[in-house]
Amino acid sequence: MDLEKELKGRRWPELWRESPLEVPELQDYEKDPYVREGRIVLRPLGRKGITKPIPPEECAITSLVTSLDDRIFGATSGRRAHLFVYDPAPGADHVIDLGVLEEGCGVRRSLVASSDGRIFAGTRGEHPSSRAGGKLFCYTPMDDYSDLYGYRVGKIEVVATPVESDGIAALAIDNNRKRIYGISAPRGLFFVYDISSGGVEVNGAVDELGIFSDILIVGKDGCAYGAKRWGSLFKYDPECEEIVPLGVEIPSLRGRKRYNKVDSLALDEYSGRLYGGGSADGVLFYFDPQDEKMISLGKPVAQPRIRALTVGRDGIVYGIGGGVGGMGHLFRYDPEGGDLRDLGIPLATSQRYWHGYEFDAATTGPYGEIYLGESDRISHLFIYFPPIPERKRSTLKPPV
Amino acid sequence: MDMKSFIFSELPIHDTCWSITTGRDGKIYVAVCGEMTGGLGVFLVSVNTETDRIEYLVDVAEALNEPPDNGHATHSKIHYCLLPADDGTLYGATHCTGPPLGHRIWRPWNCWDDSIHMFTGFHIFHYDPKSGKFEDFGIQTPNEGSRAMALAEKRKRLYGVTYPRDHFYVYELDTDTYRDLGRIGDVNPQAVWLDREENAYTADDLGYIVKYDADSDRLLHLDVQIPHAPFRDGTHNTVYDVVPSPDGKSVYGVTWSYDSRLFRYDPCDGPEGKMHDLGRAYGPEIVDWKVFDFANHTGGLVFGSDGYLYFASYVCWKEPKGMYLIRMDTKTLKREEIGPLVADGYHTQYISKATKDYASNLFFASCINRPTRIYEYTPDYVKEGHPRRSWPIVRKWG
Repeated sequence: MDLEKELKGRRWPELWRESPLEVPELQDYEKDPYVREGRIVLRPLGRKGITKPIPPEECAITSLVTSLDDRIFGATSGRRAHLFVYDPAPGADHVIDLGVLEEGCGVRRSLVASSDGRIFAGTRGEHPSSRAGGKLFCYTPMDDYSDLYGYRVGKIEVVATPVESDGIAALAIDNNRKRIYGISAPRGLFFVYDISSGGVEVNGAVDELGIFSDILIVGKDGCAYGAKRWGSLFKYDPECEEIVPLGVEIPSLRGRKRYNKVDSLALDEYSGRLYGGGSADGVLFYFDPQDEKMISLGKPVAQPRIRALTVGRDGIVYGIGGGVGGMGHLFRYDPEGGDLRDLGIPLATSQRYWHGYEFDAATTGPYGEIYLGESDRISHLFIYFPPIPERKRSTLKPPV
Repeated sequence: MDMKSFIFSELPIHDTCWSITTGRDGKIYVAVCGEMTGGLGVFLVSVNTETDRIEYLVDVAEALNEPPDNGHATHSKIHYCLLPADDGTLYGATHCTGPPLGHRIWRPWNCWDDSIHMFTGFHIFHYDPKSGKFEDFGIQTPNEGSRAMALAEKRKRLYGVTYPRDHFYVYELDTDTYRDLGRIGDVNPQAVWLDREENAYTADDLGYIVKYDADSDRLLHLDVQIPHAPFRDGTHNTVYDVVPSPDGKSVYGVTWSYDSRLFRYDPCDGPEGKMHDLGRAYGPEIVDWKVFDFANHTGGLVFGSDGYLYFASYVCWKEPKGMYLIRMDTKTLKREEIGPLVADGYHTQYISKATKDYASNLFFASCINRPTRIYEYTPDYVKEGHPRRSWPIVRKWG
């Protein structure tokens, strides 16, 4: 049929004459998907207005850690892996690129801060065929410094190659024992780096089939926790120097456990709980090492994966849910009331108008601010300031 | 002023014409879009400039098996993504933001993970006006629309930018493969253009030129910025419309921004090309933020056969307010106001893009009115018998 004739008889939808943004109940619609509880700003990976940031394709932030001197260190993945620091000091409030670690590499969940001020980073190849990676780098701050007029950096050096021909999939640090624990990739060998002596001990594979999660954390009990295949937890007990399967699986939707890995872990220093997120379905959980209980807390967002997680100073857990190529949402879990809530898409307007879609790292700052490492082709360091709770009581007397 | 309009009255509640181009057959092809009412799909329409006949060619959303009443955000637009090929065919890509049927508003951020209200993802298609054959190359990436596209015919590629995530893509026509090269910014650019080697260019949301180097298959972020007003810092200063200069060595463009700057960019002048600030497109500088959005729009850039750059600018400082046709001598940069874009009693408030026919009549696509329409302006040189031009007469980008 001739389209023009057909159009003459076509019934069209009801016409809306006014703009939707003039309709009161719809006015909020465009602001609604974004984080509104608290405030979000970002910092480019280089001082805005003065220097060029770490270039696209090598700036995806895939590891973050807060150092003992309250600076935020980060590492990137992509064509080249960079180590950077965010210096919050007066006159600074900017990111300094400390240098390139390796080409064709990433630092993924493999950045730890030592109590002596040094920062350690482990690299892995970005592609299965890559021969790069596998080195343990150490950054010694010495008298590094930055302000508006320039900066000085410390020393970056390779201190070990823990497992020959493997990359480093994850690192965790025990500052009491002065040890760094790691897992190699692809073989999944557990290794221990002695910070004092520089020696490395390789303890064998964490999983018999070589399927494991690229994540490690040191609990309050001094054990290192990770996951074998299908999200089944293990711990490395430093006393007996053994990997002990715990027989506890992280939660997933039914039928999905074989697709599930531990995507992120964060320690609540106060309670000793290990909070985590699963990759397959984005289910948040906590594991209590004391009674070895696994509690599923639910799915905070309508996407798979929880790629970044950190515990705030007030005990509230913050994370980002969402897969690669998706549109990540920030969420929070309040262990006091059990409220698990999606906070929305991180949208910053300062220092640049920018939607944050993909994130792979998080850490908590000294004043409770939450740092989120964007991991896109062009990436920024996001800073989330959670709201300050209204006071419930006061010793001050109200005015008469 | 010799101005007339072609009104697409068979699409009475469609409201915008985001794409306009000229086919090798000399007809003007227009994407008639419906983004302000839920449940409308985009139509492809042609105008025969010799007979003044409008032909409704394809119900594009239906042809893609994406009927606009299926509950999803609709394939409501072809947004700067209707491109003429040398063989007389057209390439196109669809775009979103039209609400689902029965809805009054839709944004991708609200519906990204909603399997019902999501946009299914843009299709690339090929249409042969001669045979009427319509070929769907399928959904390229879920959720996203294609904001702007260019045809690199020698390299057999399409280049484009997605919305909302602002990823640059390459579509290989030989192998039907889609490649996502990643994010280039935040606010979407409204044009992707080509140089003579068919490298692609666009701008990020700070106005820096992003070049796709076709030989190395890499995106390069150049230290070249499109101009902005001195009181601004480049925020939301991306590109709106770009046309090749008559000699093909440069492009002229206008910013999609609050201060509406014209520029000339010479891509081969030095390693990163050279940018020339040609000043505010037309009229006095507007610094009142609350009227920025409309007060500064300029679009519809097209070169006439007289060598002048014609474009449409919004005039807010005198009555009647609306889009005016301007022409600029590119040697002296002197602007001349030809007059308001009015025909059939309607003064258009927004012009998106422009094209021309073999006789060098100029055609401007109008937006935000119902039924929507295009305007034809016949310059004096046409009446004076300026010789017809030969193909190619228009750019191969949207």
